[in-house]
Amino acid sequence: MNRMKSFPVILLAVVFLACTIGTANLEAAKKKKVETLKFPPLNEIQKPEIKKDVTNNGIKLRLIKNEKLPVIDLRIIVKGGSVYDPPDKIDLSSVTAELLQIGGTKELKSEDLDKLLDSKGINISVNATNDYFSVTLSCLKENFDEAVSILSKMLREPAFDAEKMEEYKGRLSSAISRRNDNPGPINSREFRKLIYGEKSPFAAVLEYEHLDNITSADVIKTYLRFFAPGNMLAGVTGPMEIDEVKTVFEKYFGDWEHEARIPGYPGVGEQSHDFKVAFVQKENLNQSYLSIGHLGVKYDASKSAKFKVFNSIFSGGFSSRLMSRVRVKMGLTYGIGGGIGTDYFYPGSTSFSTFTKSESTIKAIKAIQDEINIIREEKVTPEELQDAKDAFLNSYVFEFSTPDRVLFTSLQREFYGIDENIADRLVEDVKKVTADDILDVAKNYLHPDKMIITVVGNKEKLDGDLSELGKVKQLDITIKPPALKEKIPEATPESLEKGSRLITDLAANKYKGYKGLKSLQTESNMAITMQGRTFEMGIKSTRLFPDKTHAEISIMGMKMYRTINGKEGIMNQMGQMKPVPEKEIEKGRFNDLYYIFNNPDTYKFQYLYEKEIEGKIYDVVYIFDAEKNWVKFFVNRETGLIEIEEELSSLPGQSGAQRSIKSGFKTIGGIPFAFKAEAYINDKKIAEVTTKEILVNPKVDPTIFKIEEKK
Amino acid sequence: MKKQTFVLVLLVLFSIGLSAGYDFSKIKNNISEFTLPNGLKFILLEDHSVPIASFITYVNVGGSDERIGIYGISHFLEHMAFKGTSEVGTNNHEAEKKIFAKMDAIFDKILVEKGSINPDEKKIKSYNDELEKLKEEASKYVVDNEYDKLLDRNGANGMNAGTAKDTTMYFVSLPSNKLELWAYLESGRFADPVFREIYKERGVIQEERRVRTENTPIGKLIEELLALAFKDHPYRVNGIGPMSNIENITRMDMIDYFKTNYTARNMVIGVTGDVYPDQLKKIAEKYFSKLRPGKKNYRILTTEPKQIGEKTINIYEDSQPVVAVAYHIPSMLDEDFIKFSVLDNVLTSGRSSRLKKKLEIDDKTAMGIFSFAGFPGSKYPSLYLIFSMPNSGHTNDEILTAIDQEIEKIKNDSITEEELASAKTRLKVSIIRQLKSNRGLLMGLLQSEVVLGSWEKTFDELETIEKITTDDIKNLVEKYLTTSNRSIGRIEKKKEVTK
Repeated sequence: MNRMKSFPVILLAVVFLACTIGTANLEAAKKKKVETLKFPPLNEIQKPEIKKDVTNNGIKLRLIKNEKLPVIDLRIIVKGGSVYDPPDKIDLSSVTAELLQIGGTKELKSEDLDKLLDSKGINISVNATNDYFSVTLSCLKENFDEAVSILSKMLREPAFDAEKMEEYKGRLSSAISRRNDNPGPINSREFRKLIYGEKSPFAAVLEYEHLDNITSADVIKTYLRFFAPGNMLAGVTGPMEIDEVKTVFEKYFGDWEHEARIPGYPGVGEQSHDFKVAFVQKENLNQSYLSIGHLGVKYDASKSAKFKVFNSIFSGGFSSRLMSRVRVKMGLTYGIGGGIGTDYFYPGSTSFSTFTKSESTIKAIKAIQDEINIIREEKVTPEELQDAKDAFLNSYVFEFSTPDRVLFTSLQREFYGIDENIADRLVEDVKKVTADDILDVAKNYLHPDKMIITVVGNKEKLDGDLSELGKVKQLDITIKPPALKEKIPEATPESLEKGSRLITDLAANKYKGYKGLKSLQTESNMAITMQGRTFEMGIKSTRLFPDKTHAEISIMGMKMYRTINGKEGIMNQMGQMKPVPEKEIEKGRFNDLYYIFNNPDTYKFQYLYEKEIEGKIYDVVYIFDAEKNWVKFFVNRETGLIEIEEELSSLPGQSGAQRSIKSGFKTIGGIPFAFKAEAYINDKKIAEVTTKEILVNPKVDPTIFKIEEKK
Repeated sequence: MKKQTFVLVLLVLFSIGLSAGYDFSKIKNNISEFTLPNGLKFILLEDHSVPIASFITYVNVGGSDERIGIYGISHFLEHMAFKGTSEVGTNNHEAEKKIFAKMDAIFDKILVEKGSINPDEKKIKSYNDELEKLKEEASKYVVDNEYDKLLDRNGANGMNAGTAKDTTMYFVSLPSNKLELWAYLESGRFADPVFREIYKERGVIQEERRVRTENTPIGKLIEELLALAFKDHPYRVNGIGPMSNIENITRMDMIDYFKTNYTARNMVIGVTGDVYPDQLKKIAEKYFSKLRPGKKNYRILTTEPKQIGEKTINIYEDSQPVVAVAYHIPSMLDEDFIKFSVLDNVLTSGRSSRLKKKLEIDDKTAMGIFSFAGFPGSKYPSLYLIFSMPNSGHTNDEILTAIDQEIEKIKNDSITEEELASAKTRLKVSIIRQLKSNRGLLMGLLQSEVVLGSWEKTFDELETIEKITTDDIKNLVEKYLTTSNRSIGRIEKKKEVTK
């Protein structure tokens, strides 16, 4: 009986014991073998010594001796750069940099300089970044003296050859024309424009007019403003001693006397928008490129560690939240990244970007938004936090991976005024980062309602309507066309024949009403913009072909009359009579379609080329006469209409080429008339004409053309 | 007396010329190698200046080894290599294995249905729905990114991989005290890979294809140009593979391909940094001995016959014009190959180079012009590619005409001694500069080892370049840069269809 009672207790005890043993085994089994690996301590990191000196006239020199190869690498940081570009001369800094590199010197023409450098395997380049110009030089040790000599001539006696400027501007111009070819760059630049403001030097995009505005004088001014010995911070690696470098630098730069005058650094204003999503439509894409974010903050040493850890956990690398969700879990993308943006002198951009097939665009955006919300609400796991810290701390050694890396990182830090020992400090700070810190960062530096979204994609293929995410604005990324400036090539029999045929064809078909046209009456309104003011006028015009015109012009309550009769003409301004010069009459007749179609023999029609403007193809014909009057007709290949004309402007106060764009065509009496015409000079609209009525072959009183003799 | 001085001066000049050659013995002394019994070779380039180590696994398999139906599989496998093993990347391999079997069975059914005369879309849809459910189930047993996380938290840097037509490479750098971690993981994923999340990763690869090839005009151009220039040789297929192959690769395909190509004899492992030979050998023996020996892939026997006429493709895009010209050239095994490096410098490298000067600087017809020998690979006879973008208002044809003219000039008058010397100097300087990067040098060593048979051949380059003459360049151009030997690819701006 007793045994029976004690049995269950013993059984329980045994079972209990068995359970605990079992659990222990299970726990041991949970830890993977790879996690039990033990590693020896890291060998000591030998931090290379940076030697410092300065030339007699203020060029700072920093050196890390590296005897591995007989190769010298030199980098000079010059404060300046694109943030100082005036808003009407974007990329002036870039032009200046390029011309320092390719513009030749007082001594050596550009192509001779190119040959010399190439023959010795010396590479010298000058580039403009946001905050500084970067001058780099690399050569074999044996060429160092000569290389610095050449560099000194390039920096002290630049020739800024005008032809080289044209060459570079040509390349920049071509780059403008290509800037909408790939979706990625469209997305990044449009996003930046929204964050910083489209005129801000941190986002402004180069346009043709900026290139037109940039002159040699501008380049020289920029050069003189920034390039001076006291504004140069030079770093060198190679098999050299610091005094060797100083000697060479003083030899070629020592007597350079010039002071830099650096203007104030531009500010950044937070932009606000009344839309949530900015969309760019691009056909033939089966992917969307997108970004979401807002303005970031300026660098703050005390927060750097927390930002680094946050960015690592949230958006940096394969283990991050965004990568795990959007690439690994959802398989929607090949890459996603971003982070809280900090920059040194100006607020960075806090943003997250990716690309995904069109059909998962909205899905991907929502996933990112969701992850942002999650990390703002819930603390990160201890594992994530520890992993991020470990990743940082364990990869610290890579700060010292090569002498070049150490030196050029140090140079940057010095330039930005950051403590030399920041790397060590960061290590200590990273160790101290807590999950509360991360939550804090997420809450205070990510603001979902302030975030703007950019999407470049194909609307038809998206998984839904972008308006699901908020108000949508469609961006127009059409590139503003360049001002007219071209050399007309020599006319050839072929081009003349082709041009002639085109015009003859128009005369016979589309514009056949001009043959046998007897009279015309038109009534229109014209608005001219001059010096910021717009003047409106009404024009009633009667024409009796071939050579009589009478126009009544109403402007500001006044009426004026202009009468042309054959070779004579008179302007009647409130009783004041002024003759119209014969030249003006001739010119007025020159590009009049009546004369072109009825008297083609007095013209030459030269076919130039076909041109595409905003998706339409035009045949461009250059029409000229013996007097060198000229006009260019752009005939829309699809409609067969002369939709654009270019000529030297005849409007008051204007000089240069004027482009008139015609629209609202109605064919009356076999003649297509444009009921609207807009005139542009250098892409600025200067006039608009709206026609109210046209009468073809009305009955006309011939006496209105009588020109009264001046008494 | 004068004659003697003259000779002396000559001698001095001559010796200066010689010293422009480079002494590699210091570097060579830091290189060692050993081979494990299973045939896996290790090459070590020591550098104890910083306690870091970089690793490159160079596998002798790439796009060229694939067959139709599974184009893109080498690249797919490269992605799969980060998914882990039966230990890393899962919390229950036994459970997920069962689901894999089910998923594969459904996928086979989908393929069968797709391949029938009248595929039943409804059936396919319902199979896909089933597949989705199984994916959900399988994902419960996945430990996300465990492979990457393990390396990251141990201080990994530059973790990456790349698949080319001739090779697949895996890179990572770590603090040098983590040598064993690398060995554990690297050997693990080649001895015991588990291809989990195939179906999800397929989506990622499809996105990659869209990004690189389908949504940029130049990506499209390159793919078309390769298909045009090559008729028979596998270089004609873009490495990432066509969408229709990426979509249909199965787990079985991958396992077979892996078993054949990822073997000890078919790969070489390079290590550089703060690692000692005996240290590496011990670790290698401990972890890599378990790799199957297999055999080294022999060179592909499909050859590209001589091109008999000029080929062209014109693509109309909503973009600015681009032109690419490709000439067939021999492989890096041929003695002519290295001469193309010199030709490159003569034609497009540096502002004094012929094409750059004429097109970018003098005539300003081009915004940029570049060239490259050995595209898409150099293990087999490939292409010399010249690539350019016209400036606004200029055309692809203008550029082609100019290229032709310059080539004719060289055929008629060769190049000057000055040009040759300048090109050689630039080339030599760039070769010496490349030695600055341990990883860069290591990659060169691995390529020479696998393709040329010995890593030591890397150091013959400078000497060979020295011997090249102006006649060599003239003959090179005459032989290879001919009209019938070329394929032209153009991107032209889209025109509207005129009625």
